[in-house]
Amino acid sequence: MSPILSTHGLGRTFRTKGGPLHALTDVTLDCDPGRSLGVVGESGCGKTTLNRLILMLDTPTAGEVRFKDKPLAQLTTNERKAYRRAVQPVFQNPYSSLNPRLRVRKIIREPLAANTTMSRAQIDARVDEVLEAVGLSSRDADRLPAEFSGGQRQRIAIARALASKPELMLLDEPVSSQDISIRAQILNVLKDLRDEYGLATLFVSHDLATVRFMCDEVVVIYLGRIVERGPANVICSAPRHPYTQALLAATLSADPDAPEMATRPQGEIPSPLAPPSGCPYHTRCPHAHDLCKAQRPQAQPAEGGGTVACHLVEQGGW
Amino acid sequence: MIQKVTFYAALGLLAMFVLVALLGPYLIEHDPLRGSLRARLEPPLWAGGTMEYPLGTDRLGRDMVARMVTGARISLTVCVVVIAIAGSIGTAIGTLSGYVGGWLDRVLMRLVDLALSLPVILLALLIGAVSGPSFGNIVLVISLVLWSQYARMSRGETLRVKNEDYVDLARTSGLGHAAIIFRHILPNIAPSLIVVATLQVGVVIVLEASLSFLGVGVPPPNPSWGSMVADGRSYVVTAWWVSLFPGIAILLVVMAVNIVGDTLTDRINPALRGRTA
Amino acid sequence: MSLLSIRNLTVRLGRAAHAPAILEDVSLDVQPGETVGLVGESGSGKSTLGMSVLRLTPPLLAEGTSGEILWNGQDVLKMRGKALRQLRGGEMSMILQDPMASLNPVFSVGSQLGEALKRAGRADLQAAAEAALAEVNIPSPAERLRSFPHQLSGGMRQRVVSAIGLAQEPKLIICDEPTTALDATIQFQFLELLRALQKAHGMAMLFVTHDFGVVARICDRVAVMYAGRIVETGPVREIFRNPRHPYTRALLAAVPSTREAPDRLPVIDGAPPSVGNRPEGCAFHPRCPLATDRCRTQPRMEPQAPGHDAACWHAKEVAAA
Repeated sequence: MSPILSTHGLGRTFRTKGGPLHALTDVTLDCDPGRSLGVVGESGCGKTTLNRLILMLDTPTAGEVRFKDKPLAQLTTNERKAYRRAVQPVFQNPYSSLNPRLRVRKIIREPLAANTTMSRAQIDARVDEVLEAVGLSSRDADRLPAEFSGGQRQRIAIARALASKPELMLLDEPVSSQDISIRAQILNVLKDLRDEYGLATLFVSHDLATVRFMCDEVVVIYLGRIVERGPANVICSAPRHPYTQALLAATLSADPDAPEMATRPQGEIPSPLAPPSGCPYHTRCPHAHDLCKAQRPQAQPAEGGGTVACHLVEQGGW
Repeated sequence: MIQKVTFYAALGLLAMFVLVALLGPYLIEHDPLRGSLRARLEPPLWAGGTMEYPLGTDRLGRDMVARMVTGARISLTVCVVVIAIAGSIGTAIGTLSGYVGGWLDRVLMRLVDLALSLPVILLALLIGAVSGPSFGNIVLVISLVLWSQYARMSRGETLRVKNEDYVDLARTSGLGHAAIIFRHILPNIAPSLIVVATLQVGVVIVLEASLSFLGVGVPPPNPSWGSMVADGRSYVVTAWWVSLFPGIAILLVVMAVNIVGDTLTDRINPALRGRTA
Repeated sequence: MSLLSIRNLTVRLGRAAHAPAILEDVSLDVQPGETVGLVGESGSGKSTLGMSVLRLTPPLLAEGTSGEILWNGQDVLKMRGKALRQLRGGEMSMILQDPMASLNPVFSVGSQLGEALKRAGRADLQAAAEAALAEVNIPSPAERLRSFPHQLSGGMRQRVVSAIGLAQEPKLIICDEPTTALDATIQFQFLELLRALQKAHGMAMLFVTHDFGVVARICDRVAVMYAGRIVETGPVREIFRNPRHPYTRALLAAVPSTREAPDRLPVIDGAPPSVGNRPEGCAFHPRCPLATDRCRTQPRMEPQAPGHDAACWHAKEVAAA
């Protein structure tokens, strides 16, 4: 089965006053039908750039994004419409993703009116349907965003994404601005919808715990490059790359007796304007040696599944 | 509490101004343009005048009440026309500038700087000297200066709104630029523009009065508060009322406009406080 | 004696007796040297509580404040002018979520830190400032003193704010979500730093957060807030192991973990009430699975175990479940 969406050697370099900024380098990943892929990284790692490239809000400077094996740049007008219908985003901040001047019905209607041939009545029926699917009611369609709480707004944003019967949902930190009790509700809604409609999801997050809950497979990005990929249970409990290990140690569990992790995070995230030579993580890595400074490690298959880009793992441990 | 009282008092004063301007012709007995030479420089009622001319008459024997009311009408018309013209041109340029960005933005913003550096009065005198005072000229000159305010505000606001996620979402849905501007951007920058427009009412009235005072505004014999002040200038010692009443009218209306405008700024968009002219 | 003792603190939106209350009848003690976590969702009043202790609430709230905040036996709410200034930035200091709100963008790190050290009566300012930056683990402190806040990363700024806060050797440091804007690996290091500084200086800490992971990591005791009240308080281990309030219990269950991936997360239905709309009685009852008619009256804080209090009519059932 071919992936709905895939990226191949995807890269984006911005020209800035301080020189070239490599926001994303050589990112290859597949979103298969019904599967949930997690993308994990900290600020400045290129998560946002990846999103924008997939959503055609920006164009890559290297590699390409493919929709069902066809590069985005080669899509015909109709295929592009199909793509826009099939790939739907939900953003982090529901206060910014809903136009405060439009009623909910109009907000949800927008992608349908633009990319489908549905009649007005069909669209209205669909709006009611998706509102109910996310736990709101059809009465809410005639209200303004300001009348809803943050959690409800995020449900509206999800309903909007759901309306055009997508095949892939692009979830960009959809719960990180929500309260704990609301966070759990939204995560459940997303998981239910995914199972019910057989959606593929690309779940972007900085939090390994939510990723563990939501995803089958995970890629970890550091300074624009994939450093590790593998099944969610491996990445979130026994990661192989020192960066992922530090990330796991930094994911504080709600348990005062949680065991201390062996690898502790240290150092600052380097500026993407002046990325370190060799392995991008060597400046913060407790195990770094000369080779790490000189040569960039290649992704190698690792025990437990997936790949790791680390000289030390390659050489059989520290 | 005091703020509230001032606000409503100012609002009431403005409502009165608009009402008087609209109902003008029905409120006055005398012709504002033609006077009676026998009744020249009649003093107001309480300074020895008669019920016939409660606020007195000017040097041509024209009723001050009639001229003040008609002056209000002219002031309001200038305001509405100028704000409509300057507002739509300025908003169009500013929104485009902010939305498109790049070199277009740089060019349009230099144009705004140019407009801001125009010497209004000199420009008006020049145009007046070339083509004589006319209603058209006054609207042209004031609009030429004021559109830049809308351009600046709408550019800044567009830059803010453009970064909101709903604009990105609209783009990912394949909406065209026009649809994005009209559906997502303009409705969200409108409140700030309304604030600018409100505050500008005062500026327009003062400019119109100044230009009319200098003789390049509303052409005589049409009354304008500004030209009325100018008319009374030579008699200010003997017939103070000719200059004083229109002067007070300008002061009150402009003050009321500014109070209402400031309050609206605070209510609609506190972040903009002090950024508007 | 407690270092800080908050007694029946109520903060209303204005002076009127019926004005909506952001905080209602809150009592809390902080002992010297201990870290107390204030945890709750948005709108629970946890930040207002932190601000109230330093009298930094906006005028409307200040007018509506009643109760007592005893600092070494003196009521902070009755302090004026000089005494208050001595308290703020002296015996108590504060670290906020956004370090740029605490730093002045037009002055260098050195001059802002120097000013705080001067107030503390330190002699050799340059050396003292370098030492202060070194203490918060800022590399090459002499150079960093010349930097301006915008030239530093978020984590570094937060370290500078801590260094300034520590200049006058405070006895209590109030942290209002200081790590929420930081990346996980940076947050981890900052929390480690705070813990080390606290030990070294023997400070007490009042730590406002929404994150149970942070609470578990650094707090000795925790107070759980819901809709303007403390609903449960006790030693950290006790609260995490034996929560007695249904809210605490449900909230802890709703946090995902890296260790397992359940099919669904247990949830609390509905959303926290807004300030003007709080339900009668126990504010949690409309969302509570155990709610009965009794819950329409406000339960009092009752001891559940040594040092562990909860305000719930059904605390025993929660314990049994």
